[in-house]
Amino acid sequence: MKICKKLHAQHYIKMKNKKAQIKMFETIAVLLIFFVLVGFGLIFYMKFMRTSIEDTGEHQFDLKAIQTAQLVSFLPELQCTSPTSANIVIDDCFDVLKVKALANISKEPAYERINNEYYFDSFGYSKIYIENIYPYSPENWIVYERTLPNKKFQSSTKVPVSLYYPVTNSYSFGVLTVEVYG
Amino acid sequence: MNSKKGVIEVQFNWVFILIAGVLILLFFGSIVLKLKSNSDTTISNTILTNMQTIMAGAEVSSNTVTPISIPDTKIEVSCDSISVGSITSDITKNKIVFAPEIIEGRTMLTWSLPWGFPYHISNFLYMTTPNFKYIIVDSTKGKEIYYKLPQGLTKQLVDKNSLSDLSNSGHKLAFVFFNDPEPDQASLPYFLENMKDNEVIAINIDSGNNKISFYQYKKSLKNFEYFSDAPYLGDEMIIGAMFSGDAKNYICNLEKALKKMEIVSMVYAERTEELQRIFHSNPSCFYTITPFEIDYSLNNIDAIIDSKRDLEIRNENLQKASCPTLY
Repeated sequence: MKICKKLHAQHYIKMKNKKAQIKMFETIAVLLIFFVLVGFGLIFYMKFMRTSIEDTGEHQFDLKAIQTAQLVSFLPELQCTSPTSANIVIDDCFDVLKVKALANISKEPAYERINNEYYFDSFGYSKIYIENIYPYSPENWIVYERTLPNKKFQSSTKVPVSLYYPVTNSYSFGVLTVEVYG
Repeated sequence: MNSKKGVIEVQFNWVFILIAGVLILLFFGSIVLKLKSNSDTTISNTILTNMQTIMAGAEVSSNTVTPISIPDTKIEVSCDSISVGSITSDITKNKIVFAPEIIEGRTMLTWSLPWGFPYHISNFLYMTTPNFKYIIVDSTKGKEIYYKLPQGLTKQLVDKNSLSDLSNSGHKLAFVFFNDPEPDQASLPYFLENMKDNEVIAINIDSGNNKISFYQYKKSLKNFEYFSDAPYLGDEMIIGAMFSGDAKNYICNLEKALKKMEIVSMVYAERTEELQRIFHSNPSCFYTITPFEIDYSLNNIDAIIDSKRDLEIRNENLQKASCPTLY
């Protein structure tokens, strides 16, 4: 009777141990599954964030391209001004003599420092040129050029402008093109 | 024995729960912190992107005052950078921005003015908040500056004898004197003693010598203390000194303006050479690049002012002779 009781007790302890082990494995399994699910969630979130960052990058590039075009359109180095007042500028009008002057300056190696330090800071990797459209003449002037070898993005903005010829006091129709590389 | 094992098992369960719980909490806590810092960076970036867009817009459309609602964050502006939190964005060399060192509050005012000397060189961008009050001491030049300032700005024109009668309106103060009296000789209102030193600044304009002196209020002295001075070229620069209130920031912007002047002058010199070539046989249209060929540095302000006068006379003469003008 005593032996039987002892065997029964031993069997009971073994059973309890097994139950505890199963419970522990259950808990660990639940935790594992939980962390696997969290991991999946994080991976999806990261992928979503990466796409979102890429979109933001493209948006920033577009914004920069527009800002550059806007900046060039209102560049005092090119704009027509009134001889009577220093601060009266004529919108969307470029003085051809100034355009030619800036185009010459940008070509000269002596002014490379200005191009590198000053204009690169404002225009970055881009090409800015002005074409005479009507009355037609094959004139076009590159006022700034700095290309990017491995460009990912490229944006081209065209702005219609009037070109003023101070010598003949006449106007013609032109197009300012701002190509920005990113 | 059985009950002892039970006790160990129960205790182990609690320890296990505790460790697992702490780990889970740490994991989610770190995610929350990371997301918060990401969100702060995104907000700072958005503010800076918007600021750059605002600056680009204001730079090209002069004489426009734009009140902008901003989040309640501290925006630090220096001559060549603008920062929100830990994010800093550069201000390019062609942008001349006069602003107090720190912009705080819900509204920011941006304003721009064209600057020419004598030809158009750049648009100056001014930034401030309605928290700043500009007190201009009444004089002929003072009136001129006062009426040039936009309506949205907190400004007051005060007689030199009524300065001590001013009352505290809770604003940071920028006094503008025109040599009569100089800031450290003026009778100042008593409430200045209750304000922080960096909340009260003054500038003194010496029109005869084209010089701006910068002062900072010192509670210990109960008076303004002279800090340093710098030259100016035109009213737009006086307004710039008012808005920046700091000599270092002002001088940095002045140097940027002179650099821009040098580049624009280079274009005008090249343009004048072309006109010289075209009109060399016409004696009534006389062109020379001499007025453009000067040193555009801070030490040569007098020569720059002389060159401006020379260019104005030459331009007028060319206009009278029906020749294309220099600018």
